[in-house]
Amino acid sequence: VGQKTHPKGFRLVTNQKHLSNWYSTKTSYSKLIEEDFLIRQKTNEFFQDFLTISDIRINRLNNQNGDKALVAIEINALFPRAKEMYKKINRYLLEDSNISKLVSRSFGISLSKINLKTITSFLLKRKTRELIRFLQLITTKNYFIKINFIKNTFEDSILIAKYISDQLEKRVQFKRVIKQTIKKVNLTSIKGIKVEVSGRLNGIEIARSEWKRDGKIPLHTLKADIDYAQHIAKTVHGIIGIKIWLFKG
Amino acid sequence: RLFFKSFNKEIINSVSNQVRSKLLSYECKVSGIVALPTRIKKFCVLRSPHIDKDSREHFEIRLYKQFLDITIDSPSIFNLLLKIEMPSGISSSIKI
Repeated sequence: VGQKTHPKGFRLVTNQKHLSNWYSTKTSYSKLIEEDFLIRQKTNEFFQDFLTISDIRINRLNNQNGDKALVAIEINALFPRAKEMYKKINRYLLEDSNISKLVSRSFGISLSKINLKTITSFLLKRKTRELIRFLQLITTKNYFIKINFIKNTFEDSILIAKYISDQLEKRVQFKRVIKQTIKKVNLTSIKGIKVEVSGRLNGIEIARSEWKRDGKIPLHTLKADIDYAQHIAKTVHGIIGIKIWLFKG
Repeated sequence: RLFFKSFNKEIINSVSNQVRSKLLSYECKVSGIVALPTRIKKFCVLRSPHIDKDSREHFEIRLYKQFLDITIDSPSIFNLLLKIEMPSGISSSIKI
């Protein structure tokens, strides 16, 4: 049994906010939690190809004046990059002929970089509408989805963790990955970072855990703004766990 | 009587202050914010998925309640009350 608490849970008193923020009575509380879980699962599924998601925040407004309840979902995600979107859009268009007709009618046949932005926004809006329709069929409530884009992967802990897990699944040496991330984080204005990787690193027989730290990470001070994330990388030899602590000021 | 219930102390304080100042600016009789005792529900949970009965973790959830007493003279104030927009995370109800 480990000795360190979850830094975000420890700081709910001072810095951190809950990810879902609503009030409900005893009778419907458990149903709403189940709905929250379903919403989070489905948003991760629907936006798997396009966005790497870091946070999903859910706010609920109760029935006012006899209207249906409103659910406001706020997604913090990375801005999709041009190279990746180019490949994915080509694949997407080849599969679904309807979209290619729509696109060729409204934006022009050739895919140049200027048109990529419009196509990505068009596809994202389509996906959000699909999501809303899907969720409205299951639960009879009105939904409102908003997406906030983050520009830099190396300022958010969950995005860094997903980046590292991608690299490890491509069989890059873990020491190189850790050094690279710490270098890139030093270029931003973040005051401290700690990375821990554990499991069958490089496919060896005996599992071990390695960590590296740069800067300050005061886990004992409550007013420190610490961003923590945990993620897994599924490799051929097994699962590698990744933990990241970021000290933002 | 306007009741406010919430799980979050900051929100309920700010909302009740806002509503009170708004109603005072419309010049109706508001007898101030009264805070009823908070209900704390505690849960004690085993930390580990298998044995280790001695190490546990506590969680709690707090229910904050506040209310305002208003005397309604004109129907315009009544309309105001019905149209108040609440932020998420707080529920309000009116008792006569």
